[in-house]
Amino acid sequence: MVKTAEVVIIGGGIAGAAVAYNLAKLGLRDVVLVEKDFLAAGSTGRCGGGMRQQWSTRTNILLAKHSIEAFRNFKEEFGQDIHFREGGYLLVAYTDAMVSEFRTNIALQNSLGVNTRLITPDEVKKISPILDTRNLLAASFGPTDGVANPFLAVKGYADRARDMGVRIFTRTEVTGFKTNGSRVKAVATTAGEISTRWVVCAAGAWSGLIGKMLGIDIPVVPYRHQIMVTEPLEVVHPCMVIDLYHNIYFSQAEVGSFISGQTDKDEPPSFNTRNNSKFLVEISRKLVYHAPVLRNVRVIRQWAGLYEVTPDAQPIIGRVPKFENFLLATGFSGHGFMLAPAVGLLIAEDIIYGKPRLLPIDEMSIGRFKKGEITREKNVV
Amino acid sequence: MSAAITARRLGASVTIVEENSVLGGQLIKQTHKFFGSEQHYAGVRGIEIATVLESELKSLSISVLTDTTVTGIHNSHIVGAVRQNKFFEIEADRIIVATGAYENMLSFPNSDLPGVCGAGGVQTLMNVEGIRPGKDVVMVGAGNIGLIVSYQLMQADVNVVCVVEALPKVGGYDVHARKLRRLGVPILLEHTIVRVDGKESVESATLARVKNFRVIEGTEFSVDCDAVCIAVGLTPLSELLALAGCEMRYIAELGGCVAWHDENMRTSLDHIYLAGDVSGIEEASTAMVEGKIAGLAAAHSLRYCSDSEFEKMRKDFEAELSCLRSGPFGEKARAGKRSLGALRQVDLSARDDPGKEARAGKTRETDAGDGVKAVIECYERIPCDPCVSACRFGAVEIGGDMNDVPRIDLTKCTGCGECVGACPGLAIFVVDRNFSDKEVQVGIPYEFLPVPAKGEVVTALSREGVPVCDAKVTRVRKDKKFPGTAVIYIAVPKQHADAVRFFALKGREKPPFIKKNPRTGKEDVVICRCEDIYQSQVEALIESGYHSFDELKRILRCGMGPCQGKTCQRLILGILSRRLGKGLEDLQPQTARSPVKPVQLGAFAEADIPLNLADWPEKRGGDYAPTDRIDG
Repeated sequence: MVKTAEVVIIGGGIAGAAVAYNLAKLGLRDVVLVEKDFLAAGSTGRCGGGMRQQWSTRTNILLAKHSIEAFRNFKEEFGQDIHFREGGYLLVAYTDAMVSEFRTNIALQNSLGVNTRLITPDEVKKISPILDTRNLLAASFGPTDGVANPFLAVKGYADRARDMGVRIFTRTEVTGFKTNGSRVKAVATTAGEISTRWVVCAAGAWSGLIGKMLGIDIPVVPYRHQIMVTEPLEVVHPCMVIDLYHNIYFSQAEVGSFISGQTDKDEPPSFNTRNNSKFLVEISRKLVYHAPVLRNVRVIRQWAGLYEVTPDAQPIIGRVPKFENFLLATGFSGHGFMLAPAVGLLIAEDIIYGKPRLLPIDEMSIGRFKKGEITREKNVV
Repeated sequence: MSAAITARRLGASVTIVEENSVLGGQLIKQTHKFFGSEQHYAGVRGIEIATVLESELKSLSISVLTDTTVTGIHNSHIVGAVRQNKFFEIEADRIIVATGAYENMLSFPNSDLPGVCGAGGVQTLMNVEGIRPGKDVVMVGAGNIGLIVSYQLMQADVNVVCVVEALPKVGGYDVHARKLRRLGVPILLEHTIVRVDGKESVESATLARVKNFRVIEGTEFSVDCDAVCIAVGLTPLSELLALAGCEMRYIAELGGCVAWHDENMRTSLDHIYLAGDVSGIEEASTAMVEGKIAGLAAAHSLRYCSDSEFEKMRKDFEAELSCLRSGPFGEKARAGKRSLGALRQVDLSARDDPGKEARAGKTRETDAGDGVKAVIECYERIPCDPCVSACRFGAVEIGGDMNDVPRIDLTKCTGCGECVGACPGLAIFVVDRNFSDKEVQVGIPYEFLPVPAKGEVVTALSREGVPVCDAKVTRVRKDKKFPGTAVIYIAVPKQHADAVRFFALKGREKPPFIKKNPRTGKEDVVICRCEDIYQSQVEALIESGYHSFDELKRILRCGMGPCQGKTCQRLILGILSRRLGKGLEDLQPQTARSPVKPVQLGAFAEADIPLNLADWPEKRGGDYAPTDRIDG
């Protein structure tokens, strides 16, 4: 184990890997990433893989827009195929209230250069003939949204970061910190202590525990999110469907399997990642409702991961008031994968240039919770 | 079934959930006779044991759900299952998991060619579906399964080209090996399969000598065959237990990952028990006794019997288990169970056994003496004793430990031949040395069709299946007591009395074993057939730092297919173990996921399980009318 580093990144999921890569790419190569298990072992390794720009806040839309662009070019830049497929996202509306909200969001998205549009049920049917659109009022369609494989993306980031000199230590858990006034001096791990100038917490659902070690309240709460996957079929359903009304999303992956998930809204927060049968019954009922033809398709496996949810379902990105050299890239509330390329760049810029250049992210700072200035992101499944 | 019967007899209400349409599990494929003692149905064929147990279940009104697939154990006491394509849940106070085991696979170039199959699969094809897997089969593995299935293949008129075994000795019972050898099937020890070749399916197998599991270069040769049957061991099918949250342990001697359990077959979760191969790979006879213990312990924990009743029954069952496991073949199971702390071996030496000293010497073929006498060619300690009770004259003796080899008292033996039909190992013959001036008569147990007619001339074979001479059938004995085992008496010249132990019908002699030039090539080896993953991919990733199954799974998708890693997990853990120099016990297996078998979405969707879906559209009116659709 190394004794010193310019930057120590905590967490080997998509966020940590993206930060590591971006730091090295911008020239800061004395970077150490520590991961308590293995790369993509946590939430990234359990992620459904969707990415969209159809959000209701300006910052989320811009972060997602940048990220999708990065994922689109990933294979070229990293030499790693991440099975990126630009099949679009359909956000389906079942009430007038939803339709009018989608109209508002689409206007905002269009103003930021994202080409979403409201489409009719007949148009929905044309995009994916397997969908039952009888009860549908309309859908918000983002043709440039898509899906990719999160595990391969982490591998791509990690491989290139290593090539540039970043050292990655898996099975290395953070056990505490050494601080001096307003600075974190060193990170203590199960493999030894690392003196460092910067610390980035990208520990996902476990960020709250890291915060506790430093006496910082990072308001992320773990919620179990369950997903199931079917046997592979010929690809007939190009897009991701998000149904905020019934609380379900589903897509067909590049390999042909249908993937669908939800967070049980009646369930209290916990680190539980075991599965229950209630999920399978519930999700199947919803899926068969949406696409009756899936009735005969076999479920192969269910699994669960954690959403690290913040009070406003928005990420927490950037510096903390208590320590000047401790940065957060966490609280993604279930959409960390799709924002990672932008977040990785923002954190790297913040460390190297003293502030993010891609776009201002003050509204993502942890300070917002104290001030009470929170706008809840509504488009979360 | 044994667990259910025991628990039900004590008063518990029991439901059996079985995936197949008939009860019996592996028993329904097992056309061979069982070993063990009378209480373990020794001498009875597996298929018949299934029938006996099933009628017992019926008489005890145990509820039986066949064609019902358990998909998972959820929320501790709830078993999820699918029946008639509908998911439902059973809440139980106690759950006994007796899911058995699945077959280990080997990987070698072209191992995914049609024609390469597992021994269990072959048994199902042949004995359940009535389909031959091929014409000429190479069997890989000389454990009991490899030996028994080879014999059954020969019975089905499939030519077993040879049996290869990497170890320097046969792993299964000697009597099973002898049955094969006298059919002329070569058992090649310290040999393995290197590759198979063929255009669209297997046409040849290349074999080679091995030393300490390493192929000796230059020893390769090929044999023509159209099927290769893999019988290289079993792995406990314990995913339901892992899913339930039982503490799991890797115990090599038990065949892989098993749920930790105590001597009462209780897992780390108080309400979950297990029995049979899922608790460690053993024989069917021990599985039945473990079932009884699990049933007893589960019923006792629900107060269906008193502590003293429990203790008494438990002691009896334990004595049975100790008996079955006390021989050399029980050594692995004893070691495995001991490492869990689940072994309560009863000391058999303390038992009253006056004949022990007398049995110190073994019987020999030449011991037969004059007249008509039984010749017992059973030289290995295995748990089996039906020959003792088969003899009306008390001529066969084994004693307190049924693992001891039988000894025959020739002064009592009348040569009646009852024991010939009774011996599950077909290891007893009757030799009449005074048959005529020039000839002796040899009585041979025979389980093939057609049965020769009296007067027919056959080719007499040695213990190695080598033709010795022609012989005439002098007597055909078919006894209802021993269905499927005829005793055929043939007359052979006196000098061959101790050499002839089998025969072949004229025109049905075994084809000769021909070695051909080896095939070579540089094909990559397929590791996961569900997801098309090759060995080179696995090794490259391990090289770049992916050091656990779950890590590899995220990149390669191994274990993500419909079989959930039943083939690839063991192979990949093997590669990891070799590459990292770590023991299998130090490697993390993949996380078990429900449903453990693929289930149609409709089965879950249409389950009669109420859900609190407040926003379900069908429940709504008003603002939810399709007429509100927008245009453009």
